[in-house]
Amino acid sequence: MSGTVAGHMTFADLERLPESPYRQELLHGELIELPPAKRKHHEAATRFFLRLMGVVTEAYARGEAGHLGEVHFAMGYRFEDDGWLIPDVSISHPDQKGEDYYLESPALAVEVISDEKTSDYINQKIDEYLKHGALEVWVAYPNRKRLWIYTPGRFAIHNGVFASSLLGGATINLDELLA
Amino acid sequence: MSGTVATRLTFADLERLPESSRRQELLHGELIELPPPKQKHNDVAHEIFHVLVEVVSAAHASGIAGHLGKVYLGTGYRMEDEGWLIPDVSITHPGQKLEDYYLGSPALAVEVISNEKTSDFIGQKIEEYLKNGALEVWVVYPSRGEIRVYRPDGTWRSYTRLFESELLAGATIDLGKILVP
Repeated sequence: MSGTVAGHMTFADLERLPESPYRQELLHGELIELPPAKRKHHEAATRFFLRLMGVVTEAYARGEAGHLGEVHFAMGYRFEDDGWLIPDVSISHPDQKGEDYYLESPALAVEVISDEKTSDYINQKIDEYLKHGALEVWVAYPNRKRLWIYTPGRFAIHNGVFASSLLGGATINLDELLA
Repeated sequence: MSGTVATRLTFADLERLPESSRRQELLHGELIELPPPKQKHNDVAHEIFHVLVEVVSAAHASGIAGHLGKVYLGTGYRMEDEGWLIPDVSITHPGQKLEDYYLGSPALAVEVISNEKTSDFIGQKIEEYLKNGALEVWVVYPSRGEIRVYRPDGTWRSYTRLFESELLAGATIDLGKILVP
């Protein structure tokens, strides 16, 4: 993690900040800045995005994705208590509230781990997503091709190919996505 | 995390390495070296160790800790597949197999988080502990006064302030006292 800026910041403060090459998030009013994503991280996140796009599009065509909205890449979500989080990939809830910005958690938040994302930072994000309505949070570890799926009070560790219950049983090949 | 060595080591290789000021662990043959822990980290680990010694001793005296062995600070555990992990604090299984080193996971492994321990490293350690027989893994975040408990049945829970531990026969631990930021 690149660093945090001391002092409580509101979301309005964040909106007024000058443009930055860093990814800026707010966790309970604490500004967190991450350096630009490296190529390997970006590619893994892109593969997740494309796979989820494919799965959700097919599920919609079959009329089976009523609990899911749209698939997004690096979309921000605004939370109460001065929160602004940007999962690498996300699927919104159907008809998720929000005008300028989505409000509260997406249905699915995917975080691809890089060295900058500390354990403390990731766990705070998991807490926020689950507390504010995420159905699942996926934490992907490219180095060892693992995916941890968090739901409230439960976790599961996957490798290889697994079938996602959230995605109607669609298979996710982690060896391909986290290559 | 300080860094890893690319070549795969066996546990025998690890035993032959020269002494180092760094904490050395093996994860599936990958050598992982951590810098010496900072004093704040040590203080938290010591506090947890002392609390666990007290709780486990009392539970043993009451005859309600038959599922727990000894409490250790910084003891290593040898795992299958060239693994050597050192939780900050641990409680062995009663009668846990022991050669020169304890074999398999302890009943409880406690990891105190510091900046050097990446999310990837901690995730791997949790997975290894649970796979090799841990009943619980506690991941401690001193900066937030939080403990996360992971169990092999796939449940997890986060605690702040008072933490009533089923593993410790219902003993209550005041996190506010041991995780002072």
